[in-house]
Amino acid sequence: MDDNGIIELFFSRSEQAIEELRLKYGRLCAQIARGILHNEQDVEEIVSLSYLNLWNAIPPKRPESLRGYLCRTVRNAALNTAQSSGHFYADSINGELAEILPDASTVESVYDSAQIARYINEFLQSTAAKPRIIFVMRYYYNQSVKQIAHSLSMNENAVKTQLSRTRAALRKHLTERGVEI
Amino acid sequence: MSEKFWSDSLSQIDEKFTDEAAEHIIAATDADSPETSGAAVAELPEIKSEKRLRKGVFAGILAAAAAVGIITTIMLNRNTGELTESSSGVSAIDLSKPESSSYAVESDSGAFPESVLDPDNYSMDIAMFKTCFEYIWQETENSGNEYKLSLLEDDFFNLFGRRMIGLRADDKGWYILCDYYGGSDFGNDLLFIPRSDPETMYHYSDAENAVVNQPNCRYKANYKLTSVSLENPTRLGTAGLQFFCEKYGADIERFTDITAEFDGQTYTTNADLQHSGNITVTYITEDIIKFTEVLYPAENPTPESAMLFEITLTKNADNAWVQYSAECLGLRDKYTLPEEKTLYYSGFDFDVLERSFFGVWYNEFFDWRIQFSYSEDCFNVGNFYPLSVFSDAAGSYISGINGGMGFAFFVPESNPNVMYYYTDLGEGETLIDEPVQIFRKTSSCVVWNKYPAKLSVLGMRYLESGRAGEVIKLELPETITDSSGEQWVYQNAFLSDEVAYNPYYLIDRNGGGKTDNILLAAKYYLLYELDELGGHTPETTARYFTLEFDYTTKEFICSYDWGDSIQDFDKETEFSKQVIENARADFADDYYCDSWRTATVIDSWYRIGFDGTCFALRNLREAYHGDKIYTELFYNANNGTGFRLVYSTNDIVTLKYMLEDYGYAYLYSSDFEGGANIIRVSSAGEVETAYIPKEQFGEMNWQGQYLLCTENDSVKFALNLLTMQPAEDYPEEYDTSDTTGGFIPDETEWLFIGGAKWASAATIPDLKWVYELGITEADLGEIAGEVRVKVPKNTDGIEDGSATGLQAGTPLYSVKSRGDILAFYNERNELEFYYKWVEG
Repeated sequence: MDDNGIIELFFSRSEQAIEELRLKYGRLCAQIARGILHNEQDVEEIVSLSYLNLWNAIPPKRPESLRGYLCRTVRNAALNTAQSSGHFYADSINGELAEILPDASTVESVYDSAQIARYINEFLQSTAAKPRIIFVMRYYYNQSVKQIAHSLSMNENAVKTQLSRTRAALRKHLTERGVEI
Repeated sequence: MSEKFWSDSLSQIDEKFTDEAAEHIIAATDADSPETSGAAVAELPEIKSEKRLRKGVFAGILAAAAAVGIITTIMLNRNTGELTESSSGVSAIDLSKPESSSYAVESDSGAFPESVLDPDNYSMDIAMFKTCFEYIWQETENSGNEYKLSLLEDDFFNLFGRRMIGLRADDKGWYILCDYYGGSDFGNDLLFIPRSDPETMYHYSDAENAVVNQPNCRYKANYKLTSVSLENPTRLGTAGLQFFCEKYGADIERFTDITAEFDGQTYTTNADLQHSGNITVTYITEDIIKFTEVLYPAENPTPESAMLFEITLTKNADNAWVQYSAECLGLRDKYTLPEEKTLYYSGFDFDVLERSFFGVWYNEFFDWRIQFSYSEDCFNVGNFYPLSVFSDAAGSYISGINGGMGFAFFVPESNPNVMYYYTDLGEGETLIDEPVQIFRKTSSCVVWNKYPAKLSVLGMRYLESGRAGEVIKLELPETITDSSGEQWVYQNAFLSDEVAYNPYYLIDRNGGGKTDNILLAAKYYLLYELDELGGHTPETTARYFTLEFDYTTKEFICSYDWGDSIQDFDKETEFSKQVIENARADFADDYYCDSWRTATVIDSWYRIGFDGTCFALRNLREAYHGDKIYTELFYNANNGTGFRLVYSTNDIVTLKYMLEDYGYAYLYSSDFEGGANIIRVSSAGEVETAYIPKEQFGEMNWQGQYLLCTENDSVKFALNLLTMQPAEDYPEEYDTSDTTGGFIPDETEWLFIGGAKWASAATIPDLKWVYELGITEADLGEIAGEVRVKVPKNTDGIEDGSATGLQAGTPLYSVKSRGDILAFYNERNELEFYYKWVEG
């Protein structure tokens, strides 16, 4: 069933919407949740919770992209759970993000996250598709390098190299816009 | 930065990027396990997670149900293979596909088994109806007609006079058995959806004698319909009414057999009155049901004679529903205003709009549903455009124009749930007692959605008003500093009425307002005038800047691209710069009369050139309007006697007919100070111009037009503000309508004039002549491409000013051993010119 059909099921309050959602995107949701959470039971809970969130949100919301909306919902729910443990990212990802902007308190005191997000979106807009996808898979969906390499039929070193270049380019992009490093 | 800050920042990555990446994740997971559905269930993981899910979801559903009073839920049962009763008494539906047996509908020449034909095996299963049947079905053979099957309305039953006996399911599929009102000689009808193909429905008109592979009709499920709750007031179709009666224990005759008294007479349905089919339940309690239905006089069942009835049912001592009253609410309700109202322009009061008009309105007579909100309204087509919203003691008004006539919506203060619509109003006409339509309010709307998925015309005006405030970040700081360091004070609403170039109001090809969905195309540029405090002097002219509306981030970005005049924005993009330069060069050889040359205000807005056989009108305003440009060309191939209209806005159409009929035509544009530029063109090629400052305008008339007069009163016409706006969404292809017969543009002209082709053209910048090479035909390699744009004379970058310019379509050859040289044959078929390809 296509996404519009699933959305219509939500609007008609048919629980088949949940079933169709799970059939189509269940694996994706689990994969996204696993990128952030490492407890399989938590993953299950988060995916189920995300379905419930969609059920409660649609209607009235009619997402432009059901998949995008669902992914965001799963990610945010997983992050909320992760937050309770005090960690948003794996240590490896933390280290990589620190290459872009070190833990400088001035950045947070001067900029709000929306502004940094706007710069990041600008940057992604101007970035070629492949490095952009790798970047988002790594830092938005928290996918491991191995998973990314598998998904994109690349070897892991190529993924790491691409990530490194993209981080450097983003750092330059932010610096040019006056973001203090 | 901290993890939290990174998390917050990355969480705001645009959904298009996250969706793009998700596509690759899902592709990989699917590739890992091709049996998507089964694997997905196991992945989540297996039945354990399903229970967990159900528990969570059902808890949410029940919470939601408790909140909104919804009782009905649809229980999904994937395990039993049969319909079961859930604890709440609602049927569960087995939606699984068959494992072994199913009708091979196309080849099974047998009859349906007795179990399918027995009415006792059927029940009014609303869950099954909603899940399996509530679609728009399209006939796959014969007519291809579409039929709605829903609780709200059902063309199918209503159209053919059928009534459901009930629904059932077995391992082969889902069924609805129907009979006819008043009986039939053709037996019962059967609708059947096989499990093996749940998007196909088969209709058998005589079920008992039907053969499986010989259905009377096949339907394809085209669109899943939104269902309704029977607990709330709602419109009901024939099937919906059956379910409603089932739920509330009412005989359906209470809705179909109505006795009404009015004008001293007693009327009954099916004798004196004819049903219209769909009813609207307006009120439900344990012992009162009110509903309305449009009924027609049996002898004259036309919309003009339709009557709206309100029928009230109550329960008697035996707990049975009976008719309590039937009141005729009116015959095409007329409404007489307390006093005559002349439409006038009286501002745009958003408070009135939101208070009196926002919501969904429904017209029962013509099944016309309209909505007024900032995300949806009825003003997105044609010339239907609101000019004014205001109120007085009698009520609230929206007045506007529809083509050349006026319209008005009126909500009386005495009854805010009724709205009257008047149309075809001429200038100065009044609203008296003949509304064309009457609407009743069915629901309210969200006033302002923080992130609207789309903006209606009203929504755009809302943004324009600045009322969105911080939500949409439309407001500018009180002072801003331009690129030269000069500080400007934000004096007043920069979106003033005087800014004639107002890109909010888009026009479609017919000149009407059209904003719906356009903003979804992401970026949109708005140009504004910044006034200096105390007004302008010759030394202190206005400055201009742009705002960029980026819909992907759903906010306005003050890009502060500054300019001293609107012409500065012509250079906003390299693309527009190229277009303008090409245009200027192209007209270098054209004739300009003196009056034109002095018309500096107009220069670069409209250019008109004459070479004895043609003239062209170009509108370059679009050059700074995003990356799109539209070019208008009016081509006179026969010395003024015949005109070929390549593309037209209202201006050009006017020009054409005025030239043909009177020998003269007037064009107009409006500058940013609110004045009007007028160009008078004769078919002999004479051009006169005039500029009329706004102070000399007459009063705006009721249609929002100004009457303009020159000093000698020789030029007089209305400036229609609504047709002054530039277009955003011109189609890729331009229409060609040959008004003289026979003159069709050749490819060169198309390339030359077609806006879309400009956009995709491979322009040739920085071309340089090279003479020192002795290249011969033998040196030519493959054709490297072709000239996509006519390169005009004397264009910067062409060193040889005597060049005649290449025609579009001219092949360009590579030169062996010289990758930087391109060669082509000139008009005399001589291999004479060589271009050094510098860029691109």
